[in-house]
Amino acid sequence: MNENEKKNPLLKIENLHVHFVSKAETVKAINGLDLEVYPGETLGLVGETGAGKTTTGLTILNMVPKPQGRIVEGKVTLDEMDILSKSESEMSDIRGDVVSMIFQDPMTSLNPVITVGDQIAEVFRLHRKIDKKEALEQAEEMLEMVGIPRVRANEYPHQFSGGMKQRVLIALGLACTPKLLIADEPTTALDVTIQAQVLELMQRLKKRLDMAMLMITHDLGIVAEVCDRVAVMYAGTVVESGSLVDIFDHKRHPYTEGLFNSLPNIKNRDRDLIPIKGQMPNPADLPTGCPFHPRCEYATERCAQEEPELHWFSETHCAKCWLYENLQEDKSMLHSKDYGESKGGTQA
Amino acid sequence: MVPVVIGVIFVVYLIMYLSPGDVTATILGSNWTPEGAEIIRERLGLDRSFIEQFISYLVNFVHGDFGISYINSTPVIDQLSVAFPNTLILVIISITLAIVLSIPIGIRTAVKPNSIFSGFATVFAMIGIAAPGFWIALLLVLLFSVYLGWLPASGMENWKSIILPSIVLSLSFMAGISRMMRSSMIESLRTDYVRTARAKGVKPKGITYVHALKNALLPTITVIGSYTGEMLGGAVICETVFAIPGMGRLMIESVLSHDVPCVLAAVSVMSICVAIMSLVADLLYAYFDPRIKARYMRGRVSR
Repeated sequence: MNENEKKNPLLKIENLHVHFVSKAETVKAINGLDLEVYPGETLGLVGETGAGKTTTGLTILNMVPKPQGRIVEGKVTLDEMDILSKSESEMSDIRGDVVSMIFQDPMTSLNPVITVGDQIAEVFRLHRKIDKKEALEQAEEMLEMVGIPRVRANEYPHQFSGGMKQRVLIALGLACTPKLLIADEPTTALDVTIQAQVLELMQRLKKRLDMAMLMITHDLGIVAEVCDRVAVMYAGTVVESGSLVDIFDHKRHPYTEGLFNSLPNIKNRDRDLIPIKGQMPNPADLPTGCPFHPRCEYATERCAQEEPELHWFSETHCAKCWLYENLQEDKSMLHSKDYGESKGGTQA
Repeated sequence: MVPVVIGVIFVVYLIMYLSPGDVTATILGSNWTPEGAEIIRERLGLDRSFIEQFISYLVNFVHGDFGISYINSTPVIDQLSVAFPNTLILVIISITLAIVLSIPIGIRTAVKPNSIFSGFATVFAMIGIAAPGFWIALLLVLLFSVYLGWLPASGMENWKSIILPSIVLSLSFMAGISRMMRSSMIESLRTDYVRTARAKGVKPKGITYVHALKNALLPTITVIGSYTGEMLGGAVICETVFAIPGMGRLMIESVLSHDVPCVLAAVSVMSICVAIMSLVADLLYAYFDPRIKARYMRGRVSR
């Protein structure tokens, strides 16, 4: 980690605001998002459905659906390139080469009328400028790498099972060894045994090809398994981020705490799950102040009025919450102020 | 396909059998006598049962013998061989014209749905669907034949005489296909696999013409297949307005004069054409859609 800290981030998102504008309303999907991914690391981006995780991924590819989706403010720097100022044709050279994305639903994400071999070969032809035969050869190698026999390259997606399709999509995403791979809930549509296989495969390939990964998920189990760092997203902004240990053992933000409390615990099976009260706020009508305050047990008057600022607890760990504002001076108090059940047992 | 054609011939045969009017009166006219009528009935086989008549008609039909016209006593096949090529040329030119123009229009309007071109194409398509063909035919004749004198208003003398009829015939067809193409194209541009293609760096042109088009063509092919049948019906009106000696005109004339063998032959040939067209459409569909192709293949293996 510390070695990574010294490096320049591969991906840096600063103060990003993305809105979806329709005649009736303006949906504020991303509100002041800051995110950094360092070379070679895996960052887990977690949050509920509708928190803006997928939109974040699409923004990195500059693929926010137009004309409704608008990037209102912010800067995305990927591999020292200013992504948001690129034209569509410049972007298509970057997509698939420097950064690629694996989408949620493998069933519908492959073109049904093109063979899987050709679909992978297309990536090589686009970015490596090689002829068709050579590209197909390399596509077959990619298939083998994800554990699919090369003879199946001339088959169509409907001849593959869901897990195999996801592996084809992984092969497609990794074809040109991008520096950053965005995986948008890559295992959500798969059953549990296949999930484990796919995750294991992704991790192995990530190490072999030495790239960074942004793992978008709502599954904290996946995060614990594959990620180095975690960013917790709520209502279009990162409310807490830190290393795996920071988030799992020293969580600070009430929302993160709520997320963990709603998970079953194998050591204490009789414990009732504690869900987070209420619903995710309507992104077209966000509350003032901290977006989490209507659901927060610790909310004060101030939370409803002013948006909290980022507080750093250590070099890696930060959260956006007013609770810690007065504690900045006295760091020794931090641990004694640990709230709720997260305190007992989880301290490392 | 064969059962469909036999079914159609049966229905038409039944209708003609049950329709009022005495054949002998048509043939003999003022020379009609009961004895003469009896002789003719026997010669035409009308004294046999319906089933017997139908089966012998079918057998003859398969051998290319469509019978002899009641009106001018010549073999029906002679009339067909004059009329059929005219209709065939008209329909083929119209279909080609419609497909060649409407598919690019459909793609263009789907890719740029808010452009001026798109608005124009929509209005054009509305007119094409709503306005009756004969009315447009008359307007075009007025403009190009009467005022400008560029094109002949009727007949089938040279290549010029086919221009106006094929425009009229392809118009509604064109409107239909371009709307279909547009909607299926918009749909495929929204799919997940198009998003995947964009994410792997395919340029907008590749997205439209490779990834989206291949899928958008599938429903359009089905529509083209079924429209082609409709177009043969449209040809009847078109041939009448432009006085083209084709199948449509032959059919109308023989129905009016109660020329049973002629009607039967014309309708049967047309129905065979429609059946062939839909077969071709199905085969094309299978060619473009690997999922359907796989089903055919699997069927073959299991047998």
